[in-house]
Amino acid sequence: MTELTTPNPAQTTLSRWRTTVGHMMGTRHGAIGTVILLLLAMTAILAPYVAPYTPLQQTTQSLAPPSAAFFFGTDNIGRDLFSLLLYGAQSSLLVGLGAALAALLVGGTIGILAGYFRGRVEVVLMRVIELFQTLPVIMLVLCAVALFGSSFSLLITAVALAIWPMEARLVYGQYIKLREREFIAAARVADLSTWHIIFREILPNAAQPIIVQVALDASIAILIEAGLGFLGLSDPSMVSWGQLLFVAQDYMDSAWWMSVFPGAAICLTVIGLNLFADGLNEIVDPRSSRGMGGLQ
Amino acid sequence: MSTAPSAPLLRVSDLKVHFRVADRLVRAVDGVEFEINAGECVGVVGESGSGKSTLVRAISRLMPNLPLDEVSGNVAFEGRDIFAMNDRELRALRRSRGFSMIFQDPLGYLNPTQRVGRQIAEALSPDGRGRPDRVRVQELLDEVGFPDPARVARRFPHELSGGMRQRVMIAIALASDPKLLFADEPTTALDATVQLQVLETLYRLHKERNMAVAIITHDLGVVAEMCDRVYVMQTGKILETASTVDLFEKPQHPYSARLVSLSTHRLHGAGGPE
Amino acid sequence: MMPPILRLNNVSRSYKTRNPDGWGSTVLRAAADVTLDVYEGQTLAIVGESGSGKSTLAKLLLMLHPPSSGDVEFRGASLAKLDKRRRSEYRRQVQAVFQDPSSSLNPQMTVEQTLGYVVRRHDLVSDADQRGFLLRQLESVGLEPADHYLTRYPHQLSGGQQQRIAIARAMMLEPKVIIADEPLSSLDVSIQAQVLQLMLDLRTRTNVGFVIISHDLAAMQSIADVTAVMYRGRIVEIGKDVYDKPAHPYTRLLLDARLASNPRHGRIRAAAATKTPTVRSVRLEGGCSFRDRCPYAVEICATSEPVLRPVGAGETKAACHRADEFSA
Repeated sequence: MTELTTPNPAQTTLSRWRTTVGHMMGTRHGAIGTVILLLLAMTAILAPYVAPYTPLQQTTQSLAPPSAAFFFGTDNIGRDLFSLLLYGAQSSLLVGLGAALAALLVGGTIGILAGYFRGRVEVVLMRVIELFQTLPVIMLVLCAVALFGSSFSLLITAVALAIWPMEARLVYGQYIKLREREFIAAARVADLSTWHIIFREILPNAAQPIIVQVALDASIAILIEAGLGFLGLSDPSMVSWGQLLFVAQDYMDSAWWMSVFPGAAICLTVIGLNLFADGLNEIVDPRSSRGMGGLQ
Repeated sequence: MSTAPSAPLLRVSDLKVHFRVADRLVRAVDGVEFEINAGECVGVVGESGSGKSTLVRAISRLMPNLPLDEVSGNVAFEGRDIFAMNDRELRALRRSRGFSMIFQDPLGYLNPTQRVGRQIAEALSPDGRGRPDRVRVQELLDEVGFPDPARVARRFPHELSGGMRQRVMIAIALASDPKLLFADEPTTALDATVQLQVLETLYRLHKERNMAVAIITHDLGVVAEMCDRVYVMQTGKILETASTVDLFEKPQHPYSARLVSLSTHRLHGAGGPE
Repeated sequence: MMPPILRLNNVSRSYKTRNPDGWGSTVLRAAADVTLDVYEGQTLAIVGESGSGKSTLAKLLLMLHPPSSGDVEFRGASLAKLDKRRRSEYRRQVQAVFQDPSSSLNPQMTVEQTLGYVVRRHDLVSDADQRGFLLRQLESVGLEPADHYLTRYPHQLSGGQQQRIAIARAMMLEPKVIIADEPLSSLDVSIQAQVLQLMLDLRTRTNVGFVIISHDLAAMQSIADVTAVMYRGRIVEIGKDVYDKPAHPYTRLLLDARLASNPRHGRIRAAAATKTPTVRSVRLEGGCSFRDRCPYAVEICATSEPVLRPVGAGETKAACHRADEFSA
């Protein structure tokens, strides 16, 4: 029926990645989001080389407004805000990615177990998910900080705890849906292992919405991290955007730049991640664009 | 009737519908000539991808949401050009003494949150003005073969079986008292025993109301049972048109001949190129 | 005759669904006390309308669902109790083809990957020979040039080609029997004929048996050795010539519902203008489950449930109190 050029077997995996990136840059949201995220990642990596000052270096001028010497001004103890923001990108992105990946690992595992094996496993795990969704995570984090003091790994754990149920529900839903498809029955009849079915047959078909969710999770994680920093709960040995906002509270009327620039950085990152997720969503998988689509 | 008795109810000339799907031009309908006379039952036969569904959708101006490359040609209903009509004229035609349509999957066209009686009442007065006419609703349900119209009117679509839903769709289609009914694979999703009942209902309505019916189907059995005349379609073109008996007994085009022989003996003619 | 390769021994399968109001649940019996033998090299058709439980039988035979009661046996041993070696033997000897070929192939895998995983799982050939082996398999189901298909994704193939791949996947294990659940219903008529012909060819070439689940009596008549007719979870008739000599009124109803293949013999036109009321199906307690639609129902049909028993002198069995009167 449909005549298409034969794809060269060696290039398929690589070329599929390449087309995915190509499609991504073809969507408006995806392109803008990707560019923002790339810029942020470069900022985080290159911070030590491009920042004019180290984060703890104090200058003689405190609360200096933005100028040629201090692009974004200085804070109350005379640190260069521009340098702080560059270093802050490191911790914010690390928390965002770290928490999102941790949530993916925990939520993904539980979602797969509940969605694929069903039965009693499903009942128990779904209750666990609901339990975590109802827990007041912020309160727990406050208690944990009071007990153990604040640290970076605690922060990541806390944020991951808050977001993993969403990931678990999504993965669960995908597995519930896909396990009923006929190709899964075919794999079972061919005696392929459960491991193979879960990771080789189902996972690639579930990947797209999961990746979208991870991007959204990362943006939520960054917001939660900022919120915790704003409450003064972030790791004091690291610079983070939320922490900068926390300090800025007291200088709202005298030094606007202390709150505006960190706030803008958080906004930009969250917008970038959401646009990226939108772009991923918009890329229709190759089936419908290459095939006949909805035409009978 | 304003038209001369010799003029067909619907005349389609040189109809083309071209889509662009992923940089490929799809000639779904490619220069089709097509006619239906008042009170006639016509079949349009073809396999998937033949363009038979696109043809009727184009005629009734229900086009799929796809980037259209070209829609051209002339579709005249009682001598009036449908493509030249504005939305108001088209709606008027659909609402009264024009054409209606039923589909393979009634569930996709019925509102799941409304009782079927109300949906039929809405079809009777689409502008929503006036009281829902219960008597008319029940008459219609009775006409499509429900033994207990009052009860069915109170049901929701999901409470009905596939065959009953299709009858409800037919009742809705009849609300505008159409001169022409398009039926797109009306019984494909139904069990054999139910299919027979629904086809019988359709045929009875066709005769009682002197309503022209165009059945789009892949099943020559449906054509053999129902139609006076047939169009055979393949890849957007009409290959052959003939009276049903002629098509079965002396098909002109080899493709028609193959379809006919397949419907008679399931294995005969197998093994040809795919 | 050899002992059956698969046997359903008084098998029932019920599904529990919670009532819409949330109080209590309803048990739906998709298969009820079914006893059925499947022989190597034989083509058994299971026909019936939607909801008759015919697909449930396929799932039971393929061990995709466990029975609620009764036993599914593979060469005399219960499927639930097979040891690892026997189980692997069962999986190789009993294969499947599904209804919707576009759904039964993983959309993310090329044909080569889909088939390759099965080859490796069962150590059919060495890795070095795999490609040649797959090419031969594709050729044997009529896909030529075969190398053209190996690198394709399912969405790049037509329905008929997809179904051929699915058949190749099943055939490559050299099974004794293939369970095919509506293998034709999503294909065009001309493709149906080709796939049907392919199944016949494979049967003569390899003596593989088929269990074909279908609603299409006309297609089954041309291929089946034995046909079982199902209604509401039960086999109501089974035999070699149910098409010519139906013993159960339901079989007769199904045969009568076939559309004419000759316009001169169309019944709808002949019988026009009679209003056919829809039959309201109700779940019946006790007695024959077909009696609400049966034109021949008498008193005994409401009180006693008919069992499958031989009718007349032939090999046909029917579950009808009055079967002997009809076949006489």
